[in-house]
Amino acid sequence: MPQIADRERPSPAGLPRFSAGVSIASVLAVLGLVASVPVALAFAGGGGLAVVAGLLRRSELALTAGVSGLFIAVIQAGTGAGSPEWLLGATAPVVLAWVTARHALRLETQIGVEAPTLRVELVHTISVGTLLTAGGGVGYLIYRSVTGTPSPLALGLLLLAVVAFTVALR
Amino acid sequence: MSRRRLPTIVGLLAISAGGLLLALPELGGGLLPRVVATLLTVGVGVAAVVLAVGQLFDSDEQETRLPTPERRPRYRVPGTAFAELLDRSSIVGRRAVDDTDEWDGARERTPRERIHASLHELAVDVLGRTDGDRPGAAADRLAGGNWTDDEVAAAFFADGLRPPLPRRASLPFVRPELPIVTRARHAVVELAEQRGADAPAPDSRLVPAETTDTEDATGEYWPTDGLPRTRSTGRTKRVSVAVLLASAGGVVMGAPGAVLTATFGVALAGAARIWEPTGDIELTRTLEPQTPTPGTTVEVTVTVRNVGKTTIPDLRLLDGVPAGLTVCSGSPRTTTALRPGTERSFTYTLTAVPGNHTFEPPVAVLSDFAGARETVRTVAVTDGHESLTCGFERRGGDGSAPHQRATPLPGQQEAGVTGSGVEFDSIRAYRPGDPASRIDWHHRAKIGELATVEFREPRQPRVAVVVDARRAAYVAAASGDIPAPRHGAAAAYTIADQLLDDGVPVGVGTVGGGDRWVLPTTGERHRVAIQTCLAGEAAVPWTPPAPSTESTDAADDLTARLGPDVQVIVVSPLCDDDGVTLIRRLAEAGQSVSVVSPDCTAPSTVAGACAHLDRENRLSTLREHDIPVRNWNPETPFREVQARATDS
Repeated sequence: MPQIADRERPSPAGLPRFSAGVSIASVLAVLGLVASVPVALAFAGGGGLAVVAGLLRRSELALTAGVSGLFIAVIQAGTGAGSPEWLLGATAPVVLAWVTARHALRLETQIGVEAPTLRVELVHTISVGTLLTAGGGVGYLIYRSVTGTPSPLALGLLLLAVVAFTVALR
Repeated sequence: MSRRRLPTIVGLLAISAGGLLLALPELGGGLLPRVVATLLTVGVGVAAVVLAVGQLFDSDEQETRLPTPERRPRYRVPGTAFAELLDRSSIVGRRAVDDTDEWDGARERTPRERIHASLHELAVDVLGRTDGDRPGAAADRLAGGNWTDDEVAAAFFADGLRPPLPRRASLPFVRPELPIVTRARHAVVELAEQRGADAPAPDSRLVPAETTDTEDATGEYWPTDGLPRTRSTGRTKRVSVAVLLASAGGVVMGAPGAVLTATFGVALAGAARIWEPTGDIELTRTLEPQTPTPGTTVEVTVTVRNVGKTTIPDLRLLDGVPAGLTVCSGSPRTTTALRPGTERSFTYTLTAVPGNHTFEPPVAVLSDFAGARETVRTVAVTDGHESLTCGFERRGGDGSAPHQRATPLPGQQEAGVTGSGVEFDSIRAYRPGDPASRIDWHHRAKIGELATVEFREPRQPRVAVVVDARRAAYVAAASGDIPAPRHGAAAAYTIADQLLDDGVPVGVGTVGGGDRWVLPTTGERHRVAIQTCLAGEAAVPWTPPAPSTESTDAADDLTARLGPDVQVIVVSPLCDDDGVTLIRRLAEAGQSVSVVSPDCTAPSTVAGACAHLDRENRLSTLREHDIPVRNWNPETPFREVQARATDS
C-alpha cells in the first residue's frame, strides 16, 4: 500500500511545527546574542547547523551535540565580557531549543503527522518556559544576595549542594 | 526514597552553610584553612565530572513499543523469497561456484544455485504440463537451450551459473544487475508465457516494502504486556550531565554565571520529580454505521474525558483499531491537554472488511509538565461500541430459518456409510449382536457360516470445511492486503451457509491459527455458531500464528477427528508445498477431499509470476490426483463465484 509507505517515510515537513519553530527561533536567538564574539559565533553556528540536522534527520545525537555547541558558545561569550545575568539569559534559549526539539521528535514518533499537536506543544513550551524562568530567577536572587567576594569554601559548599541535589533528583 | 534521602540531606546542609557563608563571608575565615577549602572544591568538582561522564554513558530506559493502529500487520507477498534471492545474487556467489564445480552438499548453496535449482524444477514441471515432456526430456531441452526463442532465457539453463561478467561489475560503487539475474528474469517470463499466464516485463520488481519481512509480521499487533509502565524519557539524565559539568566548570574557572546556569537543570529535574505523569481518563467510542457492508467506510468518533482532579498537561492517545481494519482518512491518534472535567473528541474513518472486529484497548501516553517522564497504559472504554460486524450474512440476507422441505433429498453425493438401509452394499462376517433380520441365510446354507448383509445408509453426507490458517498460509497480494486465511474464512462461511440451506450437516475447523472446530450438524443455532467461529478472530486470527504447523501431523489430527463419511473441503491459498502435502495426505487417508483456493499471487512482477507458476503447478498436481480444485480470485466475493457456478 503505497500511501502507508509514504506515511512511514520521515519527511522534514512532518515534525510538529510549533515546537520545531520554537527550537529554531531559540537557535537564532543564541546566534544573535553571541554574534559579537567571533569564536563563540563559530561554535554557535556549528551547533545551530547540528540542531537543524538533528531535526531534519530525526537524530537525537546530532541534536544534543548541536545544543552542546550552543552552550559552549554562550559560556565562551559570557565568561569573556558578559555578566552573570547575561549568561543566565543567554542559556535559557539554549535549554529551550533542546527541550522543544526533543519534544517535537517524540511527538512525531508517537503520534505521527496527521494528528493535531498544537495544544500539547503550547502547554509544553509554556510549562518549560515557566520552569526555566522560575529556576533561573531563584538562582539569580541567590546570586544577587551575595555581598562582596564569595569565599572559596562557600563556592565549594554550593557546588557540593548542586551535586547532591542532582544525585537526589536523578 | 531512602536512596535519595542522604544526598538530599547533604545538599540541604551544604546549601545552608554555603548561603550563610555567602551572606556573612567573615564567618568562613576562621572555620577552615584556605587550602582545605580549595581541596574540597576540587574534590567535589572531580566527583561532579565523574558523575556526569557516568550519566553520559548510562543507557536510556528501553522505549515502550507503541502499536501501529493505522494498518494491518504486514503479510508475506508470494514471490518475496525469490525476489530476495535475485537481490542477493552477487559476484561472491559466482566465486563460490567457481571454487567448486558441482554443489557437493558440504557448503550452503549460493543464491544463484538456489535460483537455478528452483527454476529448473519449475521449468521441468511447466514443460511437462504444456508440451507433455517427461522430466528427463524436459531437462534435456532446457540444457540444449531449445525450449524457447528467447536467447537470454534459454542461456539461463544452457550456459550454466557463470556467465561472463560485464566490465562495470568490477568497478567500485557500481552494482549492475548480474547476467545470471537477467537471464533468470527472462526465464520466468518465458515460462509464464508457455504456461499461458500473463507474462510480466522482465525488469518488473516487487515494491521494496513487500520484499522486506518487517517485524510486524512476527510481532504482536497490539503489544500491551508490561503496561502500565512509567519510564524516564532521558531528559533528566542529560540535564543532570549539563548541570554537573556547568557547575564544576564554573567553579574551577571562577565564573559564577556558569554555576548559575545549573539552576535551569535543577529546576527541570526537580519538576520531573515533583509531578507524576498520571491522570484519570475515560473514553467513549461511537461507530457509524456499526454493521457496514464490505468496502464501505465507518466513521469512528472517540471522546476522551479527564475524570481526575488534576490537569493532564500532555496526553497522547492511540485508539485500538482492530487488526483487520485499515484507516482510510483521519488519524486514530490524538494529543491534547485536559483540565479536570474537560473532554476532547476526534474522528477518523475505517474501511470495513468482512469479519467481527473487536477493538483493542486504547493506549494512552501521559507525560509530565517537563516531558521528563511518561506513563504508558491502556484505557477502558466506558461507553459506546467495542466491536464492528461486517459481512458473514445469511444468503440473500434472510435471517429466518430455511423453509421445511416437502421431500427431503439425501443430497447429491453418497454418504459412503453402510448399515441398515435398503440398498444392498456388501456381506461381512457375523458379529454377535447383529439383528437376525440382516443375517444372510443363503450364505449360511451355502458356506455354513453366519454372515450379515450391509446396506447403504440413506444418510446425507456430512461436510467439514477446513480453513488453512497455518503460518505459511498468511500471504497477501500486497503486504497490507487481507491475508489468504481471512479470505478463506469468508469463503468457508459462504460454503457452509449454502450447504446448511440444502440441509447438509456442516462443520468447520482450522489448521493452524486458533485450531477451532465446530462439529458437523444442522440447525439455525449451528449456523450462528459457524458464523461466530469464522467471523471472529479466535479461529482465524488476523496475525499469523507464531508456531509453524506440521502438515502431516495436521492431516493426521483431522483424519482422527473426522469420520470416514465426512467430506472435506479445504480452503487454502496453496502458496507452499506443505498445503499440498496436507490435502494429499487427507485424500490418502480415505477422506473425500476438494479444495477451494483463493489466488493471492500477483503475476505482474517476475517474482510474483514465479510464485504464480509454482501455485499453478500445485493446483495441477492436486487435479492429477483427482482432487477437485476451485481456483478463486478473492477480489470477487465467493458468493458470486458460487452463484455463477450454480447457474452454469
